Amino acid sequence: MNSKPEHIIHVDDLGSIVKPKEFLLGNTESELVAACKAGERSAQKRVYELFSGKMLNVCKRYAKDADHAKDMMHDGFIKVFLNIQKFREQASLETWITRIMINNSISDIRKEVRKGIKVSTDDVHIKDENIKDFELVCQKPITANQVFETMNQLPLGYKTVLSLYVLDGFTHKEIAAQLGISEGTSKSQLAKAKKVLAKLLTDAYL
Amino acid sequence: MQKKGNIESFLREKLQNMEVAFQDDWSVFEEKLRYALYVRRLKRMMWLGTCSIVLLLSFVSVNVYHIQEGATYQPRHQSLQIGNSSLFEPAMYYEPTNELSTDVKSATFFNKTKGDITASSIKIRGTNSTDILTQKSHSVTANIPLPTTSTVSTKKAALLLNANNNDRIEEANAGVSAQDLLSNLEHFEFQDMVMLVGSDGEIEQAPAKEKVLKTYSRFHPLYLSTKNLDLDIIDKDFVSVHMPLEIKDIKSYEGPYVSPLQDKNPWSYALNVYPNFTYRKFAVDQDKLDYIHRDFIDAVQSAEKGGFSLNVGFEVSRRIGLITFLNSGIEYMTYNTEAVYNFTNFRDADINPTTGRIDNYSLKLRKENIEFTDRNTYHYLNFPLSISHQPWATNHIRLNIEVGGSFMYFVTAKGKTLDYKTLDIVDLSTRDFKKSMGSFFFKVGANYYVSPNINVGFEPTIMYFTNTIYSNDYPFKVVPYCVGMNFNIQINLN
Repeated sequence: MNSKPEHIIHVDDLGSIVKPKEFLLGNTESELVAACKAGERSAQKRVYELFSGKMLNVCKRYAKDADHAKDMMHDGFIKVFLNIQKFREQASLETWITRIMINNSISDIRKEVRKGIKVSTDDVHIKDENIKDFELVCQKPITANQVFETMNQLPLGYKTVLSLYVLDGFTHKEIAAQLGISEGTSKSQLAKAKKVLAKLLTDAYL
Repeated sequence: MQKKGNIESFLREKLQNMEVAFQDDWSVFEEKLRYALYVRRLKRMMWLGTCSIVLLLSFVSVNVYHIQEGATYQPRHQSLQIGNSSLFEPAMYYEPTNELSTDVKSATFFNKTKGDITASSIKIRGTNSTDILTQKSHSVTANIPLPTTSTVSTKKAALLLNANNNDRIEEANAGVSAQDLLSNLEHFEFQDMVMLVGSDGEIEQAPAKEKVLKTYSRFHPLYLSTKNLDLDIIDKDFVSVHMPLEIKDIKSYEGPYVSPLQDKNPWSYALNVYPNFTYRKFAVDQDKLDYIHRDFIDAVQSAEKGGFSLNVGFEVSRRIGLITFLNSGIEYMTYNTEAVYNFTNFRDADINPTTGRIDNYSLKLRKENIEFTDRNTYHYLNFPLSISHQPWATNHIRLNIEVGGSFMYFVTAKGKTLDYKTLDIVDLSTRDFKKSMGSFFFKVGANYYVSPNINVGFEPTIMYFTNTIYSNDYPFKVVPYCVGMNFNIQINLN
């Protein structure tokens, strides 16, 4: 039984009488991009809602804290919408946004990362027993958040190179170009990062 | 032994599938986005404005002419024989025994073409030079190549043509065109002609015969001996009327043309009245659809497009170059638009009292046709600042290029319109508006000088507004650009 008074017609029932230009769920990515290029705020909102969660996780890998990560994410999305005209749909929208987010985050922390890498002279010596124990760690039911928290304990230089190489798929050449370091430095930072992270995980969860 | 890449796989497996938390902070981000878009727009306009100013200054610097009092130059001596006859004879209006003599600093020559003297070859000399205009009705030859000049008289010139027998007196006032002069010259013998130059308004305003007499008297030997003449152009030197003519230096004036009507004072003041027709576009803000009555959306977009404004103001100009000015002043602007609505209203909006949004609509039992027309007037005080350059001018017409900006203070709005939610008739004076807005503008136009003090002109204008007077909850986006046409009347107060 229809509980609505008959003379009241809801907006959704109006159908073709007046159809606002709202962006509806289910539109393809191309339509979404086209609407964003046209400056439609509802489309921009949709893009933000779709990808902001993931992009926040991306930014958290490079930020100092949660607030910094949120600011990075917002700045990244601003760049996305200001430069949306340049998106050529050769890759997926998510990939493009992720790249912008990473580049934006790196440029934010570049100086600090380079400084951290330069002053980091300690040669972390990992015992072989720690490396063997890590295999046991892999069998433990450790959540993603726990791993992430552990990774956050790494020095900024280690964490950045580790994230760029392992999680975001950058080559050492690209990492070197991004951070203004040599390829050799990138490789050594990665090696050290892996060793230290393995030790931290072993100490924490084994 | 550690498996190669084990930790990398471990990290990828764990972190690439991390829990994604939905971010419910769109409103916070939207404010940042709006600001970023505004800053980008502002940067683009400032860049455009800077480029325009740089281009204008570059153009001006090529043409800036420093007016120097008492400029001196080294005269050179040349004698000019015009055919077999002497170029000058003692003027008939004074005693043959009296001679006028002068150091002729320069002379106006004409570009001789074989045969007739063409109109284009006659110029009137400018500053720090003596204007001597001599011609013959028939062809002229010269022994020396004659330079071309491109000059204007910086002061008003009284040109007197006196018939031999005093029974034909032709007198031309300031700004006589070369063509007019030529058409009269053929009636006279060369010895009958002499040009007197000066800024003596007394000569100009007197009747013709008196002008002749006054002019004669000014060339009385006594006058001449005391050099008590105010002949600015020849700088208190006098026309030489003896043969052969000692031609001193010929100094070409290569600067831009300066109309004789151009005010030479460093400061000038004027009253401006100019109607202006502008076109501005309004568009519905898609994010605020819930704040506008749906039946109203299409109606308002066609109703508010552009309008007519009448500006009355006082302008102060400072000469910063020969034909370049820095302008400022104050203007009172009234901008008029017609609010014309004619649409059908099917439903009443249910407005949320807390948020102000339209949550729902109630269908009317009977549809209502809404027709409404009213004139809306917006009043501003405008404070402009601009640089104008007049790259081309004739005696009466000047081309003007102007770039600048202004600060507009919103005074009040009058008239009625429809409320975009309730469709009730509202008084504009009760609406909230912001108090000011800024603009940048670029104008290219032409002015016709009816007289030295009054000119009329038209100027196509492009304007960019940095903001609008509408409040943040106004559901329409006003396109910040507008094009318009100024028709101005300017009264010089100098």
